[in-house]
Formats: sequence, C-alpha cells, structure tokens
Amino acid sequence: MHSGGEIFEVDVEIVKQSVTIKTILEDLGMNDEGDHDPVPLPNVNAAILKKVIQWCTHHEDDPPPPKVYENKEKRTDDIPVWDQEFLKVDQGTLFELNLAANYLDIKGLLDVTCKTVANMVNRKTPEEIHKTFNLKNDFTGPGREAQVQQENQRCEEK
Amino acid sequence: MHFRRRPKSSAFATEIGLTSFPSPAPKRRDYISQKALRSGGGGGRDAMAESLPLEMLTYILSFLPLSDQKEASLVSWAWYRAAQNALQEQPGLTSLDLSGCSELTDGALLAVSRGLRRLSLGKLQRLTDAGCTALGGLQELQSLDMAECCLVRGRELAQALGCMHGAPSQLASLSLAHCSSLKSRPELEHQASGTKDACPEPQGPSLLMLRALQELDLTACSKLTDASLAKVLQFPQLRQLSLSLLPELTDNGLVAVARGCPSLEHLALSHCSRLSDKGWAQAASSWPRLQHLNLSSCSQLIEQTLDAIGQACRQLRVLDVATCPGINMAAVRRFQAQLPQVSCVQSRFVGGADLTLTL
Repeated sequence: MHSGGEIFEVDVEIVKQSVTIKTILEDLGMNDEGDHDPVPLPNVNAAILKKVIQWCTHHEDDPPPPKVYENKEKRTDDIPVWDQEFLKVDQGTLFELNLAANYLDIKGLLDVTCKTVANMVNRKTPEEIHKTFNLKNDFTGPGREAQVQQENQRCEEK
Repeated sequence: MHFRRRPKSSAFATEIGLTSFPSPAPKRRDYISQKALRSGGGGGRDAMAESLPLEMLTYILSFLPLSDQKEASLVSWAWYRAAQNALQEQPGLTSLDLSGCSELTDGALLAVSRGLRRLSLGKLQRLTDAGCTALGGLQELQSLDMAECCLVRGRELAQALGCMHGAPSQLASLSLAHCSSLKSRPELEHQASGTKDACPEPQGPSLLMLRALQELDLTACSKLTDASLAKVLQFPQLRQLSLSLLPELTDNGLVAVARGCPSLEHLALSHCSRLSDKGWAQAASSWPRLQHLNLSSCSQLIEQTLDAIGQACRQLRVLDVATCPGINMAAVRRFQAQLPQVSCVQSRFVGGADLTLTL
C-alpha cells in the first residue's frame, strides 16, 4: 500500500499548517515526541509534497488565516513575491499543488495557487483560455455558444 | 531517501526544485520535534485543468470579476457550471432590492447571491412557498422584507429561516406585512381555556426559532389567529412590532404578546378593533421601554386606557390615537400633561374633536 512512497521528516510546527495533518495528529493522539510512524499521505506524490513542505517552511511564521470568511472583495493582485516565484512552475505542477493544498487543507497555499490560476484566466477570451489550458470545447453544436452568451446577457440585464 | 532538517548555525543558499530561493533564516530553538510524512507512490500524474473538481474551479473563478466569469462560462460545460456557482457566491453583494419586480417567480430566489445580508422581495406576488425554501441558503441574512407576497403561507418560510445549517438564525428584521395567505399552524388554534398549559407548543418550524429578531411586521396578516399570535410572539429582543389591521387580536393576545416581548420600543396596533381597556390595563406595565405607539382606529379604547398607558410607559415620545371614538381631547391633554416629553400626539378625529374642515 505504501510501496514507492518517500518519507519526509519535518518539523511538527511547520506541518501543522495543514489542517488535515494537524487533525490526523490530534486524532491519533500523537504527541510531539516519541511516535515515529510516518503519517501516510497517499494522495500527494513525493515531488509535490517536497514543494508543499518548502512552502510551509517559508510561511511558518505567518499569522493564522481568519477563521470566518470575511465578506471583503476577492482579489488576485496580492500574491506575495516569494509565492509568485515559488509558483513559476509548469501547469501540471501548479494544479498538483492546488489539489494538494486542497487535500491537505492549507488555506494560504490554496489561495495563492487559486489566485495564480485565476490570473491565467484573467482578461482572456474563451478561445485563449482553451489554448492556455489545452481544454476541449464540449459545447455541442455551433448554436450552443451563442445560446450561452444570450443567457449571460439576460443575467446581466436583470 | 530521508530528508531530515537540522538546525543550521550559519545561513547558506541552496538550490531546491526548479528555481533557487534564499534559505529561510535559521531558527534557534531548544527542542525541535520531528514528524515523518510518507508521500504517495509513483511518479507525478499530469494534473490538468480538465480534471479539476467543480468546487475547486468554482473557488478559482470566484476570485475573478464578473466579466471574466462570464467569459469563463463559455469555455466548456464544466466551466459553465463552475461560473454559475461562482456567480452565486458574490461576496460583495450584501443588499438586494427586488421589490416590485412582479414578473419574478420562485426561480429568481435560486439565483440570489449567498452572502446577502438584506433582501427585499416586497410585492413579488408570484412568490410561493416553494420559492421560500431557497432562502435557507442565505446564511448571512439579517433583514428580509416580504411585504405583500400574498401567496406565501409560511411553513416553508419558517423552515428555511429557522434552520440555518445548525447555527442559530441571525435574522433581525422581518416584514410579512399584507401577506394575506400567512396562516397559523393548526395546533395553535386552541383557545387557552383557564389553565395556561392547555395550548401545545408549536412543533417543528415556526417563527419562534428567530431568536435574534428585533423587528417584525405582521400588518394585515389577517389569517393569523389570536391564539397563534399569543404563542408565537415570544421574542425577548424584539424592539419593533406591527400588529396593525389584525382584527382577530384580542386582549388575551395582547397580554401574551406583552409578556413575550417586553423590550418593545415601537408598537403599531392600529385598527385592532377588539383591543379594549381591559387588555391595556394588564399589558401596559410590561412595556416600560415603549417610545412609539400607534393605536389609531382602535375603536374600543377609552380615556382610562390612555391614563394607564401614560402611567406605565414613561418613555413614550410619539402616540397616535387618531380616529379613536372613545378617547376625547380632554384625555389627550391630560396624557400630555402626564408625559411632557411626548413630542407628538396624533389626535385627528378623536371623540369630541372638531370635525369641521377648514377650507
């Protein structure tokens, strides 16, 4: 079940930024010392886990994210410079990091990866989005796109 | 391969991954605890935009302005669905007034943004109970105006508003004025005869679950019975209440409401023709904080009522007793002498007032 997986030893405080891991540690009653059974993370491969640990290490001293969702405007132009450099990776890695942040429940990493992807969608036409992400247009029939456009227009007029 | 971190005594730069980064500043701690994490096996799979789960794509799109979400919705079916979801999660929209848009039907409520705090659906006469269930998704809702939604009968509304995913409802202001179909629950129809415990408590959803309610308008909800009003109007934080145009309200009901809602500051009871001096004699003392009182067209009120109110409601500022035939100007003047801070008394056409019009 664990074949091929790699083991990473990490500072507990750093890794507790992941709510998922924090919960596992608390549920299993693992205290800081003693227990050396590795926590299995089957949904995250080694390369991505390494990058996640790197991100968490850099952000170790960040203030905790606000618990209650604040009703302030969402924006994508506030990604810290270090994170922008960190996320200058190929698309596959970016999406893997995104999914890993979701699985590991690391809000800060989830937000910057989502914002990075959002910036890649920003101000693009549908055709450009197709090209950027190598997506298939599965709207069937030539009339469908026009129909969707019409529906969107009605939404705006309401 | 073991990847072990040790406290470093001097700073140095390392190349990690695809680009180089300055290493984090060395931390000095007396004790570092380590935990081992084991990753999944195999090489990396190619995660592509195609395989993003819907919730993730929705979250990504929710960072974008409306115009970009629109473009995104034309990319593919999955993106269309995600963009529609993101549209509903507009956090910026907190107040929406759809009142008077009489063509809107239940479907409109399904598209309404989830972060809303104030929502006005006044005069949407096509709204039915089915549409009200959609209101349950508005967890931030603080103010709801459904005046003149005359098809709404109430059960689904109470259910939607009362059960906000386990958290108590934050609704502070609710108007159901002129919702002429609003009905009481059948088990509340019994009249309390003698013993106070004879009436059953309402089971299941009811307005009672809105514990944060501060303003409530039930003007002209003519199908509500006296007994049900007595049972349901138990809101210790309620500040403003209108029960005008409720011909069913009796003295018993009034006294029960007074006991249940002692913090009232604004009260409207105009055209409640069954209210009499007896009810007020008991009820007035429960409302020491009353500031605005509207008793216009309450045909059974008499001078003694005014005296009783004047004695008990010492903070009164505004009183309306227009067209109350049982009250005369002498009583009004006595009342004003009793409470000099009262700034406004509406006394048009009270008993004995001069009805001649000056042209």
